[in-house]
Amino acid sequence: MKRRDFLKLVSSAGVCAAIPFPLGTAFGATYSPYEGPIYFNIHVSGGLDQSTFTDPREDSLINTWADNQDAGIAGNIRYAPVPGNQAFFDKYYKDMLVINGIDGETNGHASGTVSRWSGRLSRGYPNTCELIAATYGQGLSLPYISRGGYEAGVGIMPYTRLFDLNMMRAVSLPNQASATSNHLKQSDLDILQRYKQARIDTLNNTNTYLPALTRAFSEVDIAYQGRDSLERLADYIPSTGLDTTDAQGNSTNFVRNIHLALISAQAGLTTCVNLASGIGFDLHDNFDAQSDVRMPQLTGAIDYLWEKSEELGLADRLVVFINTELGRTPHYNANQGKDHHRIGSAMFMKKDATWGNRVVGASDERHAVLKINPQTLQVDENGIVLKPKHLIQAYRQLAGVDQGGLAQSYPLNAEDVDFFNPGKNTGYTVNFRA
Amino acid sequence: MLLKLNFSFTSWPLFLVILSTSLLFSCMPVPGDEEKEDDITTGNDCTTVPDLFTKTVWPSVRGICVDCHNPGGVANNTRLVFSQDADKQTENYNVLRNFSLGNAVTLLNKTIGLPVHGGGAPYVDQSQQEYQNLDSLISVMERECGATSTVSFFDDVQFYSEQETLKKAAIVLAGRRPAVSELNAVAAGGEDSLRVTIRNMMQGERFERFLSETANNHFLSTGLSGGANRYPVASDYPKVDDIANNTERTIFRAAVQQEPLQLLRYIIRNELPYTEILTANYTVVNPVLASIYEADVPGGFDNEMDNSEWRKATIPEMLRFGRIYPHAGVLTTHAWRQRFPTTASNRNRQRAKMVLLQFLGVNLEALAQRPLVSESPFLVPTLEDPACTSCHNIMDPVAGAFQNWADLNRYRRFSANTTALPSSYRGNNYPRDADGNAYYQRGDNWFRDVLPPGFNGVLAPGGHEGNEAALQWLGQEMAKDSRFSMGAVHFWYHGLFGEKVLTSPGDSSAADYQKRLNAFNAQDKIFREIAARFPDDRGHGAYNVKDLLVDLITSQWFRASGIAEDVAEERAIELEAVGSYHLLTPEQLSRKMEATMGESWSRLMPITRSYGLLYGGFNARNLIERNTSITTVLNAVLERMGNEVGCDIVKNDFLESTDQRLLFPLVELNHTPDNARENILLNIQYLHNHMLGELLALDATELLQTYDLFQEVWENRDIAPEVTLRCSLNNQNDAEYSGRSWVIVLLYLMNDPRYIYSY
Repeated sequence: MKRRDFLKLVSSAGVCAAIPFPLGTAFGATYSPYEGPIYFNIHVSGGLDQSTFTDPREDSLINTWADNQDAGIAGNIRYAPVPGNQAFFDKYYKDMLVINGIDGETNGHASGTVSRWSGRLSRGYPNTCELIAATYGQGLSLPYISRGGYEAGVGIMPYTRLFDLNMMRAVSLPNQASATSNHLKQSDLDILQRYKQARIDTLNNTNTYLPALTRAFSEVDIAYQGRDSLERLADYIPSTGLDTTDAQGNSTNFVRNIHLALISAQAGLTTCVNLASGIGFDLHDNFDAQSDVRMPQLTGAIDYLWEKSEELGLADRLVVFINTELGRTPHYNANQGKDHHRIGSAMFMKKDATWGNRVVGASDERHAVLKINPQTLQVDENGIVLKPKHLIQAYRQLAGVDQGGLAQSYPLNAEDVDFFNPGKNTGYTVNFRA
Repeated sequence: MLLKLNFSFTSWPLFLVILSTSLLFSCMPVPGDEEKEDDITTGNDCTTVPDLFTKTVWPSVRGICVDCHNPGGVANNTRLVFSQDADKQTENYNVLRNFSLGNAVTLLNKTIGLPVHGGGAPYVDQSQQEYQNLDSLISVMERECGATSTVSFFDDVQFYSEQETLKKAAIVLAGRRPAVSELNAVAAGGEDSLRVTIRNMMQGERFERFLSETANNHFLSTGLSGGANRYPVASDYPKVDDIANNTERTIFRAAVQQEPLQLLRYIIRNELPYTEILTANYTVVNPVLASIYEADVPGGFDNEMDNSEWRKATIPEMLRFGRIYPHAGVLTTHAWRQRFPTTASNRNRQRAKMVLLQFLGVNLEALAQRPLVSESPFLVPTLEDPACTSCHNIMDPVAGAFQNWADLNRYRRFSANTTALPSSYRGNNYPRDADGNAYYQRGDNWFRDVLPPGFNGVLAPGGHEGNEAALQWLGQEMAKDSRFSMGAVHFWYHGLFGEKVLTSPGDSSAADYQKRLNAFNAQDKIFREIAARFPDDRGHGAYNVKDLLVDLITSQWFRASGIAEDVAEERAIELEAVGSYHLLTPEQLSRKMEATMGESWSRLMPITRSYGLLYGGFNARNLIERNTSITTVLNAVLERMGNEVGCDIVKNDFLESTDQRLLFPLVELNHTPDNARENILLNIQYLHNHMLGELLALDATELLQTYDLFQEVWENRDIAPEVTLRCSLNNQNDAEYSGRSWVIVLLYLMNDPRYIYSY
């Protein structure tokens, strides 16, 4: 997509006022840090069992814990009584919108990842993070950070992977040779950058290049826009290094990556983060033993995300979307594992959300999908099946990127579902003992 | 209540026949009404029928296909239903035509049984005349009724000339610019000379590095890491215990990682059939691997201390089983299997998926997009449930060929080295079959609740009892498969174009579906033509990868350079993947810098550390998808690179004699805008062509802009720097400041998207 076309689309979205860096501003304009909502995608790798999270079944054929335990309840939300869940749901239920009974329409990891994160099975649609970053992140140096999950881009805002903190410090000052020397004369480089921008502007307005190359021009142009802000990152890198352990003592790379991403958000450089948990849930054998270890790692990391955000003054701005590529079967296989299942769950989290403490969508006793009325949210055999397109449409609405040119370029054609109405709730259709 | 499969497991051959004709048919995704509407073109039926249909294709279709594809036949619920009435020839032509207009690939594939076809493979493979007749007819049917002219997919696309193509090929394959003699040969000899000249570039270390990088994108073998049990162990190779220290261990592990890559290099360097990638009854080793494996190396090594020397070898005997190692190309290299490990429950399915993907271009995940049911009532879903069998029927027999390699990647390591079956399966607690019997039978080497080892509906020798050479059998069978050639095209396309091949769009309700399908069909057509030639001996042996690379590089897809005019958004979707433009990898960028500027940036390599990892985003270990887009951070890496090396590159080029310079053959350091404007302009013109492939007139706006940059920097020369500078050009060796002005021009061009996104 050419930059001039992109600018038209973003302008048509009516979001220019929200952009911290005026579109098309000449090089050298003052940069303002991003202070809007920070969207945080968590891709739970491998296919999270809905019955072990927010859609529990007190049926020992589905969950062995049901032999002697009841499903937990926090507010309106049910959860499986596995390690880590009670503390997590008791602490955060008011901030949660649970979505159950999502039909991902596939049993494959790769296709499930595409479907659950883009809203359709075919490739070619963006991760909502890319839309968010494209809408709100113009001029930022790290508007979209990613590590794992669904990363296929459509060329409107490429992501950046984060690695080593020291290297980030080095690239934020590319001309610095040492504390007291540079490589080249800075004023010469300032002249250079002006000409580079002019060159890109010329290329972007030339009509005879193949789409692959015009996409490259757009990407370079976007990259230039973020140059000035990159220097800020160095100021926010903690001298003590990155956290790797959550409050419960679980040590994971996921915690480290969360901290790394939050540093960039704190510096005002980032609008959306897309992280894979790295804690895998594709448990085709010994499900219970492995899940009992991994579930608290997952909930502990999400708890860390909120606690650290609070510490950094970001919690009020944070919107978390927890999603996964597949659900898991409502029974154990011959190896005491659970296999792939197309029906699963997801969750939005926001501190003090008016739409929190609610459940939308449902599955039946055997985790088969149930139709719901998109307006009343009640189970209705004449209703609709919740699919990833509804989920992603909800995300776009939440992020304010559902209207205008960009969204229209990637239409989901999903029925409107009243996800965020605090007065409506699907709840659970199955019976619980307690 | 789970359903039970009620027949004996001894009747596997019959079972497979039944399976292939009944379950597979029922597993075929049944298109919903929306799909039927979207996939069939109507409203433009032809009233005349070409002879090719009447006299050639229809007699074959009528005799083979119509038996099922008729209103009362078993295929009457598909999208291709013909009339059996002899007077309905025009109607039948339009049925075939309307289906093929949106589904040409599907139509052709079904005739050769791909991916699954209830009617089997009536046209056997692509080489058969019936297949080719149908393929030709499809081209005719794509035109408007009665039209004699064709609209080509590439009608509004411009292409690089032979010489421009040669320049790009030289960067890719040889890491250099073409010699004048090569350019002249191509200018004189045209296309034929281009092919020969490109082929001749395919030699030397830079070409082989291209081979390794491409292979590693797929094999990921250099990402092998972890503890000792991830590598060959002393129980299998006693010499492992001779490793004395960490240094030797590092060398050994590097050799293990390199083995599959070096094997591939060996095959291609020696222009052996690429089928040996799966069938080679040997491997390659360097001195350290030869020692550990106790390998037979015919002719030995030139230098036993040189671990960069790799030789053909066989492993004569493995400790535990006293037989010759069952070499099967890369499949029996430790690193290939270790990067795609198995577990007791995975049962080699990941390896099956990868071998099908890497060598046949078959993506199993694409078969699982629309399962029919959400919960299985079956006892063994992977055998009985259509939702599962669409993948497992293809995957599990292939997985069975890996039967001898258990978890920890060791050959038959259980039960006195007789089996690779895990104890959890062999034990008494494992669930029983429908008759209450244990699945495991003494002597088995494959799971009896999984389809028997095989491929393409053919059972492997040994069945569940096992076959010590099962992988060798699989390699031979796969090499004979007609999809092997297409798999090779897909494999090497990624190395050249920096991205994966297009896949057929799955969602027919999507607004861009038709355009994406057009793009897929156009690319697939080119690939099929290249794949069709791959088995041919064109003077250098059959299945020659060098010939395939030449075909890819001289294809329209690679040589596309631009478009004639601004295209509509819909057309842009079709052209999205056309051309070879992609963000060059750190390796490719380094080679391009060496070719165009004489040197590269040492901190961009290796790609597993530092700036190389940040820029490339690939380490073959946990980062297995390369960065494909420039970002602010990556741009900052480029800026740092230019700032660190720019001065040295310019200085060193000016130190060369004029005829040896890569960058500044037309100017000297004492040339300034005041005294040599013309020279400077000419050199800028040269640089735009040399670095970016742009042929600009001396009065072109872009060229003059570059000149303005030079001039403005030069005029800025008296402004003192803010701090001490590290640049190797200074007032002593660059008194006129021209050198430093050229540094800025060089950075301008180095950071240009046409430099970093193009060969």
